[in-house]
Amino acid sequence: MWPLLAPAGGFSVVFVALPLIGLFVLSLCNWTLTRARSPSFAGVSNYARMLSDEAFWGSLGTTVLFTLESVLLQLALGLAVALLFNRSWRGIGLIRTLFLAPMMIAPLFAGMIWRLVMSEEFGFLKQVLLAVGIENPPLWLNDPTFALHAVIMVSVWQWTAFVVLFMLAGLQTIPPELYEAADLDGCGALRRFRYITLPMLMPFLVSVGMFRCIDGFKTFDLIYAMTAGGPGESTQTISYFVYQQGLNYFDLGYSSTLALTMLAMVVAMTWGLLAAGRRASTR
Amino acid sequence: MTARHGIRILSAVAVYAAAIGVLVLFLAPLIWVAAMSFKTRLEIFAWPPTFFPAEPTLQNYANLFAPRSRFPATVANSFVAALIATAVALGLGVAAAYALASHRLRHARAASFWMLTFRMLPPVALVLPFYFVFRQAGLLGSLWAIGLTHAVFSIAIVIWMMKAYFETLPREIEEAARVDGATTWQIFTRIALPLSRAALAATAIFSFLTSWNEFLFSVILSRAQTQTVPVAVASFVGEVYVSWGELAAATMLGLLPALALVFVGQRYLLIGIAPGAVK
Repeated sequence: MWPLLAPAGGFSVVFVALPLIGLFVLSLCNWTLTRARSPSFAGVSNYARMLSDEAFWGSLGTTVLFTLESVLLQLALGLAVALLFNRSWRGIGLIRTLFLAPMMIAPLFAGMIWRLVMSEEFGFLKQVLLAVGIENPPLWLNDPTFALHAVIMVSVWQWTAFVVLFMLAGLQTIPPELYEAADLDGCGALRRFRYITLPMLMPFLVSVGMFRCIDGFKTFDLIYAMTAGGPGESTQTISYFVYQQGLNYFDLGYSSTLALTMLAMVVAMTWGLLAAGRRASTR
Repeated sequence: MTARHGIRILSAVAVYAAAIGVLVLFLAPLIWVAAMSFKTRLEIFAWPPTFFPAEPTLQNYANLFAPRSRFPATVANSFVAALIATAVALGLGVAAAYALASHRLRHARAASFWMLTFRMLPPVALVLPFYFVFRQAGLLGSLWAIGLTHAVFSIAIVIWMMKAYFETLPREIEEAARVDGATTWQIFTRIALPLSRAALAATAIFSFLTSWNEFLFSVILSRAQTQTVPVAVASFVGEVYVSWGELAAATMLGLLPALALVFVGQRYLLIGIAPGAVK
């Protein structure tokens, strides 16, 4: 069995383990590619710099807000749409399939599509809002207080289908006898949802929420395509901050520190959410 | 017709109307951009606006494939990178998935955990060392660099999907073959693989799409001649004169493979995204 595993294992060492070790070593160095030929040892000074860097804390706050708001909206909307689509009627299957289209698209293309849709000059959204009589629609991506919500909207557009897919699978696992019993007891639709559907779906909600939180926390392509972190720094997620420090300013030491910190946060989230998922499914 | 019957018909109509409404709402941006790709520049900026093109034109697509255009080369680059990534990911990942799915491997849990966590890695954490190493090795800008780094995420997907699939194969077949004196390699290549054709095909498509859609590694590790489609599309907007119609057309072409995949089937989709969530 081990010979079958070895090639993939070797690949993972070369392309994952070694780069991560390299990342750690770089994080202990001062090295700006445009200024110095070779790295110099810096101890933990990059970490100290990070802790006192307002831009880092700002991007962390932006990322947390982005993740929470987009995931909660995706879960709520996804659950509602799944309840609507949970029927084996003629045509609903096709609707369900077509509904998946946004999540198959590269986030970069999704960002581009919405940039066109939100365009100040010829955007579909502006046309629709003007048509229904809203004279001064929001500036979407050019408004520092609104840009983040506009990007969140796109992420909700793209990933709601992902939640729907999970919820539909979850709904299949609920035994119909439960609903029949509830009917006999004279339960209304609201109580059936509250006491049967929601508790039975909880493990699925937790696990899909976990996936979406981790992916949301790493969001990069969408920001790159739509706002490049702006206006100002209002949509600068932590991924984008790392990218900017490392590949715009070529500050390899500091960006490695940021990247490693971000990695630690993702790992912590994965463990935390896995544990929460296990608790939810054993209950 | 009783009143009860009438209410049922009404509620069915309401459900259909709501389902179609939700679908239209979600697909409207896609359809609008698709329509835009067939409009002239004049019509894109026209007021009052049109939804569907009044005078459909293929000019935007023709411009993308004009003799001096760089776009066809980026499509070829995307294909080559995705093929490299898929070949590497399948070649290494399927065997690993089989080993991890078998119950004859000690420490399989720890090994699985390591291989499965790749999906969780933030790409931006890997791209810095990759950039540095490929730069030192003089491989910056090579399609091999792009394809191999894409394989990191493709391989995670291959292992997720194929491990879940191999675990559903009845163990009796394997045990019978073993009694007959077959080696592990023979069981893997002559029994497990032929039984998994459909799952293998779905897995291959997924790992292809993962590479096709990838942006960060591609934009950092490519140079002008090796740009992939998403990188080319992203660079449109930075130019002095932006041809919005061509941007729309390029975006539509870029997401065609993804749209084709929607029809591959939800079952495989779910396995690919979240094995373990469904059995």
